[in-house]
Amino acid sequence: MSDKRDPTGAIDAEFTEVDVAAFADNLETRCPVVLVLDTSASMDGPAIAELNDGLAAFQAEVADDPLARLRLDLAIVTCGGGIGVAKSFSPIEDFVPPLLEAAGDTPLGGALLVALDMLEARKRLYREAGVPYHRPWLFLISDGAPTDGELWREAAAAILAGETGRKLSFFAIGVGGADFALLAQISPPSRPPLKLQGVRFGALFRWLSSSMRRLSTARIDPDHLELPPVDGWAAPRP
Amino acid sequence: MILTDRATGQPVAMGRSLAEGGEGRIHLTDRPGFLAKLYHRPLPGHAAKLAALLALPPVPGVAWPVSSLAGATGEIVGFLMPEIADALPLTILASPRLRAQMAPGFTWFYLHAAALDLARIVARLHNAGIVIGDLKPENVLIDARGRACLVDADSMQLPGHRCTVGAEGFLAPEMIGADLAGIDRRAAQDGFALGALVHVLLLGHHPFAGVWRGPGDPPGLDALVKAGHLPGLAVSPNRLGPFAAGPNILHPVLRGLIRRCFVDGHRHPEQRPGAADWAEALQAALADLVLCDAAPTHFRAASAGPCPWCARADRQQGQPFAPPPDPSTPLRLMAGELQRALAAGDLPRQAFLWAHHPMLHDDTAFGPQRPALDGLAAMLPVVERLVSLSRRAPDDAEALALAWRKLDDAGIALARAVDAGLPDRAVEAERKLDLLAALRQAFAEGIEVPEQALALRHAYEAARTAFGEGNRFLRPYAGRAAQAIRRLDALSRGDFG
Repeated sequence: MSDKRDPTGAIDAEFTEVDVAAFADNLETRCPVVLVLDTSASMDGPAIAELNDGLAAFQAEVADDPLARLRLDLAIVTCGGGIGVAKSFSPIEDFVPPLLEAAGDTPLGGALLVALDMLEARKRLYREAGVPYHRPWLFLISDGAPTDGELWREAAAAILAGETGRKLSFFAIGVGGADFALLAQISPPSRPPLKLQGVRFGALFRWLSSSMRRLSTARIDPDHLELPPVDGWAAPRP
Repeated sequence: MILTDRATGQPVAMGRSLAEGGEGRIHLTDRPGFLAKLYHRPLPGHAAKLAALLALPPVPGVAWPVSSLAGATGEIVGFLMPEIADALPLTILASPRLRAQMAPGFTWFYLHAAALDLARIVARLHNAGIVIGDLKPENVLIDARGRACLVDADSMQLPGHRCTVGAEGFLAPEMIGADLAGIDRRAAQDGFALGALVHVLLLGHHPFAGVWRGPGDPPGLDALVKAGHLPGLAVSPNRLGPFAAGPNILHPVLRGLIRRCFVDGHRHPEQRPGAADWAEALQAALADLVLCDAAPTHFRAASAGPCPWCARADRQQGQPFAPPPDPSTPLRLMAGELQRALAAGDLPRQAFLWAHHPMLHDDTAFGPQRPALDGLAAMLPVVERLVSLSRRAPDDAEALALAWRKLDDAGIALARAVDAGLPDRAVEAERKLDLLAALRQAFAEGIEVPEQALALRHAYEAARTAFGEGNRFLRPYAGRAAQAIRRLDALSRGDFG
């Protein structure tokens, strides 16, 4: 098999030992998902508690499905008083839900750019490892507006390009007093932001896990995937 | 929810939902051993197809519906089917990591056995005039004995009822982008899916999955299939991934079928191997599997070189076959195979198993047979050479005769068992060798006098009759033989002219 390899050795150079373990015995089609979570000071209280509970339930539900476990690659980027990577890409089975704390401002634009960058790097790794992948999903959950100037415009342009090129599926979810006009500007016109009723993150993540389980086991074009109804947790902005 | 079993009129209570597909949902029922499939949206077409399916004799290896289920107002909302107990979907068994977690001990031997059983089921359906249509990993269940079972029988194409669904990567190239509801499916399209499933089972990945070296983002699996970008083809922008096992580790017959299925048959569905071809090849491949003496779970194809799994382990690419709870199980499996070969008096199989499993040589169970087995195993390479010679160079009398002379009594019995025609061919080879020796002798003596020319002519003509006109072994003598004939002709013209 060695003669089939990249003669420059570039493929081997890309992999650390950890990556080899992640890919050598798992060539399943991957579904990369990034959650960009607003953990700014305004999320403090029940909102951040609900978010943590929702994440834990999400992990448990996906881990229950052996194939979704191998196929779903999850990363979490937080923006609250800076941009943090609460979880870099790895299969959901290795994922210990982090305990997020709310603090600081909301550098949303920068966080989205970090997320997009992580997706590109992850896709490159898939390509080198020779594993097929579905179109990445990028979720933005926010209760406010970006505090990092006009950076979000750059992210919005990249998101729009990704959506039109069918290389990305972007979902914006607004909580409480989120700036829906701005979320709508970030979102592609075909997928306006959704409004979460109260802080029902549990319902949101249940929806997300069942979507993921469907997507990760679907073999038909994800474009035509029939998702479970979104009723019950969100409503498009009136 | 209580529904009515239409066959008996008895009520059936629906239990928990186990799985959900595009068309319906699978439920437990209060009837032991039976599951129900309930359509999301029951349509008249469902009931009609179900009736057609129920009217057909069930094909073994398919979870065939046993009865339709009616709702309160009598409409057909689904059907009852047998539950396939203790089986795992192919999706799980083909993944090295899940296999290690959920079915350790499911070795390459079992994967081959499952692929063989699947090919036989597909062949049975095709013989019954049924095309599966949506043949995909999720619809194949496999039990702990490597027996396969197809589910989702109601999506199959029956005469007068189409299959309207398909799965990415398992649709034949000519079906990608087609309106599935408006087109009749053909057995050759199942042939494509079967080839892909065998590939997934035995090599752990889809035949068209690879590392994209072309421009832009890698195309999806269907696009790769449609374009024929098979990794391993010299011209393909798709390369075999660094962790993917290539078809080279498979039995040569399987390798050939994979080529026919995905290269020759890519644009020519009629050239793809049929399900019966796959079954035959998998049978041969299964019989060719031997246990590696370095690792207790590594089965490898004896005719495909050294152990590929050991090579992977050396490259730190993980162990695709986890040890079973009792690590001696695989070896005991091979011991059982040998017992069966002994009981059946199958000499070639005995010789093959004994030659490839030195680990069995100290097994006291085979103590009494050991001398005979040692003798057979020693003769095996000679017999293999004979077989390959008589296939490759049937006119090479010298090589055939010399190989045959090396056989002892056990070897002759083995050769006879491998190919009943070998002894006759050996006799024939000896005869030809004698003719060739006579020809050489006559050639060496020259054609100075008419007697010598006559002798060469006779020797040459006798050899030509045995070897055939223009045979390569006679070529060195042809020139002088022709010269001899010319001289004899001139002489006879002188006599009578």
